[in-house]
Amino acid sequence: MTGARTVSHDFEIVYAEQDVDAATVSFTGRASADGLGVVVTGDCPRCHGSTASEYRYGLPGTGTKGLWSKLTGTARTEPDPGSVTETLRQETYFCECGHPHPQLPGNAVFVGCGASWQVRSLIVEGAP
Amino acid sequence: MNGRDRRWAELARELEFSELPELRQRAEGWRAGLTGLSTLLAVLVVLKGRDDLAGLPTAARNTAMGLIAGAFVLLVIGSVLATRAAHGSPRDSDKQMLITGHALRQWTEKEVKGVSRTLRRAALCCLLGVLLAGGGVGVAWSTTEKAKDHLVRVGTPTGELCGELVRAGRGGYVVKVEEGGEGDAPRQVTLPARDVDSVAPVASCDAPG
Repeated sequence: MTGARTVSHDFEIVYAEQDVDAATVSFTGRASADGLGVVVTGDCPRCHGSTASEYRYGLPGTGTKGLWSKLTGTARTEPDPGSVTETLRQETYFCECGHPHPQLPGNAVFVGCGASWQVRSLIVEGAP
Repeated sequence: MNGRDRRWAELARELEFSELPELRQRAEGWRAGLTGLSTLLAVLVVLKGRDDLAGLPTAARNTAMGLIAGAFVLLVIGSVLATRAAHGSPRDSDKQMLITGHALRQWTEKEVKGVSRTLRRAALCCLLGVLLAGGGVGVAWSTTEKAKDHLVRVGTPTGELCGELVRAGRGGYVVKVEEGGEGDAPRQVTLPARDVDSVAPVASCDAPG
């Protein structure tokens, strides 16, 4: 989370899966404690709770890149910070304030108020 | 934003917990694929001809060997491509990316195209491989000469003669003798009975015995 919080967390707001504008909120990305991912923190634009979304480095599944990517030099084993920043900017974020807002579905993966947004202001620590 | 973004994000979040089973599944797939390749090799060794390629005329032997070698290469490539399409490349096991919903969606869309392309190539290679293998077997079968019956080695005062016994009677022995050169027509030799010291059946005229 960046900057001082001006509005307190609204615990009573009812869970709703709605897209909200995050123009006024800044988010910060930094390496997770174990170094195996990136944690993006900030305040939820809807419920104003402090939210943290963690993304891990990993294998998305099976792949088909092989000799060609090696020959053309497009094969990489380590993600570069620039692409990490770009990836985080393109992501849609969900409220993960951790508070079970009223009417939160029992199978909800993201525990929060249900809001989602695209970041306008994102600072990734360690990125060029 | 819509529900699809949420679904992709949820999938990305849950992927963390299925990474090891995913890798194990990939390893199992490759193990099965490599086992299939070993079987393929055994099958191609069996399909080398009615007897063996060494008995074919030179041109036919070279053609058959070329076809079978080509078939083998194509079938191996096709098999590897099919395994890659089904289970991915082992090389990708060290390729890490930040797994977000958006990145997962992009990767999946790209992967769908890649797998489709690889699968088409695998099918083409397998089809061509089967055609070449069939051609090789056809060449081997159509040019393998039937083993000669009634081969005899006839002893005469001037030496031995080996060939196919055509007939024997009062008029003597008629033997069809292959000439040394490949492609030369066999020659019929008539040996008077009084000149024949011995007649012995043999399996082959290649070596005296």
